[in-house]
Amino acid sequence: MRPVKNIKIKYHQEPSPPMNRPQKFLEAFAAMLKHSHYGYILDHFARIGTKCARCAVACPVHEATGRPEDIPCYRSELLLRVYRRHFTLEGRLQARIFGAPPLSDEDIDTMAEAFYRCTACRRCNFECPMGIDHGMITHLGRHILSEIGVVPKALHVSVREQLAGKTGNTSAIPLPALLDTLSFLEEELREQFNKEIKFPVDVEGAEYVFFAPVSDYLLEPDTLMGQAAVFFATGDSWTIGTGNYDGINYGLFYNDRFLEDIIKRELAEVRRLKGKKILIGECGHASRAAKVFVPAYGGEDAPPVINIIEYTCQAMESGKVRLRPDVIKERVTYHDPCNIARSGWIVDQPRKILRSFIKDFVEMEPHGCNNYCCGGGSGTVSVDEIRAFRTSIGGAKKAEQLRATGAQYVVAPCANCKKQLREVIEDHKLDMEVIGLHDLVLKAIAL
Amino acid sequence: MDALIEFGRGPLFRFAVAIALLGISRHAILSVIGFIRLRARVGDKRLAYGAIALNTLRRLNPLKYLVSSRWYYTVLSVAFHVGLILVPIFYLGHIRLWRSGLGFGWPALPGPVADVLSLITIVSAMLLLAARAWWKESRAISKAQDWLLPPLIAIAFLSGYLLAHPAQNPFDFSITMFVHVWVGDLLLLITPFTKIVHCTLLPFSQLVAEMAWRMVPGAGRDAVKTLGKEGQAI
Repeated sequence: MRPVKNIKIKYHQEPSPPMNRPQKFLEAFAAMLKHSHYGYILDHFARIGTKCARCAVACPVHEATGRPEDIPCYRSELLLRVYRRHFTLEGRLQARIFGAPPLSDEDIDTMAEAFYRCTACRRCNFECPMGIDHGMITHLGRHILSEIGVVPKALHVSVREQLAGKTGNTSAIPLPALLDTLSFLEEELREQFNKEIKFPVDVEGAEYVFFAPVSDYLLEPDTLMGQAAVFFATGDSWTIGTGNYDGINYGLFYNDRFLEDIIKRELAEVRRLKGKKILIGECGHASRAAKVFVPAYGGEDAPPVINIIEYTCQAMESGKVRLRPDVIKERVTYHDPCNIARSGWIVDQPRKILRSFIKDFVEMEPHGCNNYCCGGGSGTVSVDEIRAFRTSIGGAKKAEQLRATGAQYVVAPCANCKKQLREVIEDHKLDMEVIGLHDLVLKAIAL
Repeated sequence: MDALIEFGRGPLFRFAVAIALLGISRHAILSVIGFIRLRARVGDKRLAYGAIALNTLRRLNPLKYLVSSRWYYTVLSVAFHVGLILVPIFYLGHIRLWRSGLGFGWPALPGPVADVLSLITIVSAMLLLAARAWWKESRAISKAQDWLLPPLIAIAFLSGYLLAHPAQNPFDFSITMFVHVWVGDLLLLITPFTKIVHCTLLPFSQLVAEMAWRMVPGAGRDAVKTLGKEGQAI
């Protein structure tokens, strides 16, 4: 890929009170090392790195810009250096003997940009022979920055609305509006299938309590209708809770205490409804956040977490869901959202579904666990002021992959990936449409 | 010179070995203790040890990295490490030294094999250094130790090779021996404090990576209390 001209990113932030930022950063860092698990992990990573730069070949941002500053190891070193210098005996001794400079305001600005150029897609993990998780270092760097007020306003405002706002969700959809939307979708389904396909609300004791990325209720009606149609076909009990209907967890992108609070709100809703399982809609980060952190924060009786694609795949394999193979004639490709694909959790299931009824299915190369990020991962897609960076640098490799498929549809089962890919397609002038997996299921399902 | 060599082969060598062994043992023990303590604190304690062990072996398999666009780095790195690990431990001359210190020895590598491995390590060390200098990405992230360690290792191996083949040695024997012994001791001494420590930490890497996202419940909120920001609006 030819190097792309670099674009410096600068995101809107909420005003913070004047402070000695380096001192506050170090205090926040020390507090996290004291209370969290990060000390053990960082200490290992800080000692083991061999600076082989192999990670450089895995990072789509570095691939686009060619800048050394975009090498994962270079970026991680920004935080590891602070850790070594201020929180290890050797580092403090070295600093005393050789006079290493202390953390500066400029260092903080550098980290503030670097940790939001990274989409924490964790593709570089596969390349690191030492096993360094650069995505986790980005995550911790963002957390510490957020404790001194350095965080994109877009993420912060969403989390505030979700945890402390009137609506309790990131898209600020009031409950009456949600209920209206569900009625409308039920009516649409009735027209399409001539059947009473419901979006059950507040059903106690349901097998599945459903958390869609709440923006789907505004933007992705076909995705939601496809999911309801699957449940109609299986006959399983499911419900949407009126106490919390948002699966989005932007805490994952910048602050652990919000991550935990949002998970606990999900758990509280499932317990209120006496539901048995958490079902997450088409959303990569919401799925990963629930899958990884419900067991972490939910105690020993934490409910299992299922992603809707897993559910639909099982339903299809058990014969409860039939998809007509003569409906979709266009060429289709599939984009793996990093948060569900990197670990290998949801890679085969969507392909089984798609291959069962799509005649012209093509893969992007590489794909699956080794996929390329859409360029808007880890919440950066919500930061509209960095769109030029996201699409022309972060999404450059993805645009190249999409173009090579010649597909008419790119299936992206993730609210954030959908938005980002639509912008990538628009900015790169590609002739294709982004669609949810259940949008296609809706077209092909036989009821 | 002879006194310096004897000092390097005797007390300094024993001291260097002690520092290296104690240092890397400390890292290994701290890794285990740290893991046990952390596991007790994290919310999700389920760990698939078998999968972690398998993943560790997969990561150590150099063939995995041959498909990368930096395959040559893999080839060089493997070539470099084979001799680096085997020759110091299994070269006959070294076993004699070990035996004099430890009171026991072990089978040695055949001389020609040790020679070939030494030459491969010397050449690959220099090529790795050249690759680091050539490739701007590696250059950009390199620190002093990244530049200094390969030549130091190459010097230790070259001097050792020349000592084993006096007919090919253009330098004075004593000087060569002095360089070999003191550079070897230096490498042992810095092992726990430099990236060479990956020799002991690497087997723990996948376990650590597995713990990287195992949050401690309440950690973020406790940190906020420590910072005196409790109760502040979001």
